[in-house]
Amino acid sequence: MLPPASGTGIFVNSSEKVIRLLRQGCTNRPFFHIRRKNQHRPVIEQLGTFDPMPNEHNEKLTSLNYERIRYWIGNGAHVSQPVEQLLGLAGFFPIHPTSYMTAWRNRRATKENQEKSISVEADDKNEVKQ
Amino acid sequence: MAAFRLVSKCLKAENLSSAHFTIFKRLLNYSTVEYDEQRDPRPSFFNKDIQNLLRTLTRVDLHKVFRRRKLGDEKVRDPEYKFMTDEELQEALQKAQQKANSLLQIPPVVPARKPISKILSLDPELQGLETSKMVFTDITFGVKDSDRLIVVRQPDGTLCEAEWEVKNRINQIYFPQKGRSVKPPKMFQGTDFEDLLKRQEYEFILDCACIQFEPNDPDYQRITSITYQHINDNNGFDKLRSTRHFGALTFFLVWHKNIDNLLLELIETCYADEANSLIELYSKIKKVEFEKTNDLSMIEHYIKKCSNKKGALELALQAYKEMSHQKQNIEKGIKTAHGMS
Amino acid sequence: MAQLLNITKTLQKLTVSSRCRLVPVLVKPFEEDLPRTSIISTTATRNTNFFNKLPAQDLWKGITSVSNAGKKRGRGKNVSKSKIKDLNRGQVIGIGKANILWPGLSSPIIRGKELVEQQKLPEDPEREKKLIQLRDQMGTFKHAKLSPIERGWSGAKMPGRSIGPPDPIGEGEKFAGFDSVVLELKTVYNMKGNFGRKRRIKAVVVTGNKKGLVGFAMGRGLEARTALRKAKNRSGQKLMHIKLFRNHTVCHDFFTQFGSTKIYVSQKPEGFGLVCHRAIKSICDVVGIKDLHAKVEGSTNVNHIMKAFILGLIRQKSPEEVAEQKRLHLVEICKENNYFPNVIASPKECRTHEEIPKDEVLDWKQYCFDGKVVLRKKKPPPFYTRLKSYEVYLKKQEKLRNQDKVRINLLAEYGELRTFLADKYPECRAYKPPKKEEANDEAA
Repeated sequence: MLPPASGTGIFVNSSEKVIRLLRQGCTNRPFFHIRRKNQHRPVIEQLGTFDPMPNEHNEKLTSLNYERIRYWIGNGAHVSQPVEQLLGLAGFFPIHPTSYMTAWRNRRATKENQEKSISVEADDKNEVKQ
Repeated sequence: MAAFRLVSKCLKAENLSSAHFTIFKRLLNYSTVEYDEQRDPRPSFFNKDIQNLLRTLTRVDLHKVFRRRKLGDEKVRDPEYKFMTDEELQEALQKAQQKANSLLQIPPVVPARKPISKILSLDPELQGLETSKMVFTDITFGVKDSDRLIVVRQPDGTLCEAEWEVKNRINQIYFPQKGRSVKPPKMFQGTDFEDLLKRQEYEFILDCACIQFEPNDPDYQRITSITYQHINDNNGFDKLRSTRHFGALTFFLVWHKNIDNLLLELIETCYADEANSLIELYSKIKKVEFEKTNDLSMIEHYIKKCSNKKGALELALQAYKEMSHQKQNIEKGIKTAHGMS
Repeated sequence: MAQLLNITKTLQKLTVSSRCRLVPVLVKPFEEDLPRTSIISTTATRNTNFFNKLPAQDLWKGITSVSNAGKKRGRGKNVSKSKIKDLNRGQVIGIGKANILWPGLSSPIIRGKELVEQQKLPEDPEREKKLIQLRDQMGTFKHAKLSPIERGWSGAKMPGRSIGPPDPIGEGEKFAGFDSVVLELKTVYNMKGNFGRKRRIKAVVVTGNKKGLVGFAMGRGLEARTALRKAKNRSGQKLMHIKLFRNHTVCHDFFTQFGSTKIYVSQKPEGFGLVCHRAIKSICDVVGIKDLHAKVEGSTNVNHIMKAFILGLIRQKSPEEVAEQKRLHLVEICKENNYFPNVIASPKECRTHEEIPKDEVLDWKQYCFDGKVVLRKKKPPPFYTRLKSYEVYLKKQEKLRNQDKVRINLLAEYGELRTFLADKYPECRAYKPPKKEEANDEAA
């Protein structure tokens, strides 16, 4: 049958442990489990979920088991970058620099787009005048 | 199914109209009455004497508490038969009584909660990262729903605690409670609610409200207060007797000084002792003293002092006095006929 | 009939010969179109053949009967006498395929003041159709169709069918509220000294008033109707009273046996229905039992089942009797009442805990079945659960486990299958096939 959603609980001492996102969901409907994982081995424990599709109220839902995350980090587990970003936004970690960078880039892109559209409009007006 | 669809379409159309709530209010003629924190009901409600009085007014009938109920879509089960001695039967009945006591626990009366607006941190640098809110929930094992940490990262970078509405929704998503739905069902709004009131399904409404909402939810207080007012106006007290909601109803009526209808019903149905305890409850909650010379003096004093329906109450009391007098005479007659005195 | 056939035969011959003789009236219209030579036939015609040499009886016998020797070999099983058709039915002398008017035979000779002439009328296609329809109907007999409520256990057979209350005795009271059900109707044979096998019909009928009165009887007769009537009336005179619990079920579970037929009957709550052998169900209907479960072990002879069941019903003890016998309270506990101890019967004097001997049976089921235990076989899992494909199917179904609930919720909320995204993206809706009328309009 299907492996249990909560993980197998089995872990190998020698392999590296990572807290990372694991895509579940189906086609066109991503959904992530945040899991403690042996490298290249079955999941040890599920630590939370992340749904990147905004819901009816325009919210992206994330659940995190802080107690277990703390425990595994204390045991020397690595945290992947996307999870670090999420934890940063949650106020659990300091905010990740990548978050700042993406925010800044997004702002710049929107600004450029606005300028472009303004200039295009201006050109259009000029053409009409001519 | 087609009819169902049609009905739900109509409902949708109704919900969309902006004025629907005002229409609903006008039709029912009832306005929401909340318990607020300036006049906190908690000290008086959780008082032991008052709880006991409320319990006596509930008039517990075990056969009504344990009446036959339909258990959803479960199959009918075979009853179990047992041979019992007198002692075993008494013990079983005692256990049933204890069970009834816990089943009849009155839902707590507390002031309505205040909205949450607690900002944890401001990070305007994060503007533009997301176009939607991010909700982070702590799903650590063994934390109460009310204590659970739920925070929201707004699109403008502010990190704040989630509002009540969001908190309830998220709690229900990650830790579902049986019978509760993520969105409040339609039976609590608009014509559906009105229809239920019209059909006098009071116990059903109040039971569902207890499951769906927390007692400090303004929605809960809206629904219960409107239902209580409807019961008071339509003399539907008997529908709630022997249920856990009767105590809350009585407390509501006493709190808002509106016990005349209940008192009238009690006198008319010849429950003078209960009428007395109702007046006692009134005096305790409202801190009013009534003379206590004979059986009915407290009621008379109340009628003189605080009642709004003096005429009807006095007439009912007079009729009750006459009837009890006649009863005494008849009993005397019977006694003399039997040669007892 | 044979005479009639002969007459028709001779008439046929006559018509043929008359044609040869060239009746002037008939020939007149043909004269202009055809040369004379082609009508006068010089060839000799022989009008006797296999079909008109023998009478119809003999012809039919040829195809429906089998020789004695053939019968012994098992031939002719599918042919029966019912296949014989009377081809003369619907035929009238003087009216045939060629629609010719014969004065004096099929029409009067003088009509008004004119003499009717022999003449050929246009052909009537209806006549042939009617004849064929008449012949098709012959030999097949259909039973009147019964409504599903009137039907018995199987098709149009009598067992299981209701035949109304017994007839009143003399001018006495009527059996008001009674109803009878046939349990058995079969032919029985008896050997007589001078007749040999004597055939009779045997019927077994149960009657009751649906309030606890029941009677059963057997009746024999030469016909089914008389047998049924005898059985029904006799059963009305042998009524017994049966205790019912809350007017809907038996007083308690019980075991009952007649011969090698063993029945385990158990009391059931309201709304359960009758889950038992069909004969027991019929009896319950008549007695007024609405909820019951019964398991028959051993022989399922209907007579024995009936006797065993009614015996068990009579031997029931009422709750009061049980309580008095045990000298203990009888208490009902059920989930619908939230496990409230509901006292059903109490004795006049109750025993104390010390007075009960240690080896006394206090378990209700054990007490009712008198220590017997119903054999409950464990149902083996269906074969497909062992297949790999079933595992795959289960995995695929796992994804759809909440689909029905989501569907209902969406229908309640929006009135159609759509998500909240449908406001922004109108294609986020379930495909609705266009209505039939619209589709037809488009096609047109």
